[in-house]
Amino acid sequence: MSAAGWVIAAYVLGAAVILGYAGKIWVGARRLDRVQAQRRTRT
Amino acid sequence: MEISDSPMAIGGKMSGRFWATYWTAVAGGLAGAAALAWWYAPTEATMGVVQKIFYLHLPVAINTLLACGVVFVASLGYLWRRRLWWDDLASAAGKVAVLGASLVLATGMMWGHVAWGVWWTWSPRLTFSLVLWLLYVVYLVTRASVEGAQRRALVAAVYGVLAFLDVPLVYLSAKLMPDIHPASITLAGPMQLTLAAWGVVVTAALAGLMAARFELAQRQRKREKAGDEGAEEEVKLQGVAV
Repeated sequence: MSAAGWVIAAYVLGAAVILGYAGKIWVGARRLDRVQAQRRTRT
Repeated sequence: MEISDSPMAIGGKMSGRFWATYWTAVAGGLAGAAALAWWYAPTEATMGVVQKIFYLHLPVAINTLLACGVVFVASLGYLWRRRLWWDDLASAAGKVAVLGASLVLATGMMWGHVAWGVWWTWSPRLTFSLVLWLLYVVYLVTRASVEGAQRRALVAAVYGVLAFLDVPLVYLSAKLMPDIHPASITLAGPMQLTLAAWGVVVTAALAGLMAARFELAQRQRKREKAGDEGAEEEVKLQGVAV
């Protein structure tokens, strides 16, 4: 792979890792909302 | 009271909207910073195009060391006050430290592969960086393996203080010892501006990750405090623990 290819690969990896973890936390928080809502409905 | 009217549900929705907007802005910032590096910053004379990895590599490295510093301060905070608030902060920072250190090692190896012709060399800076990554991976593994919130927090806090000892070694290694890794780089004006833009975006991204993870841990903790026994287990089963 060319030097330019490695630069693009590094940028894509950086964005994927950061936004991927952000997405994982976001999904976790929304699931927590749902669990809370389910428990409140039950009680 | 309707579920959607409860303060928790409203707080969750507001938090969801805030973070969706925040991460959209960070994604835009990353794209903008990449465009600056690609089209605005000149190509470095000695290393060529591959030097552009530096704009991502350095800010992530600095923020990783700062995240390790947050683990250190939060660990001391827990040992002093014995409040789980500090432990949640240390945990969030520890996760960001591992994520950042992984990214630093990966981007550094890509850079080294092109610039030095090798993926890895046991130079002081690289070795201490690998040790840092291992220390904080073990920090997360240790946290996951200790039962009981207070006991986990105590063990993690002692470890979090000791693990920080590697941070000054990472920082000083390339300055005090002969090293293939550059200790400092002189940058032209457009390069400095590009690096500053990356610094702002990467700091916002990693600080945002820490804040979002801390907020989630606090919400889980509040639910447990409110007498919602078994909530943590249920949440973990549904894949919320991240």
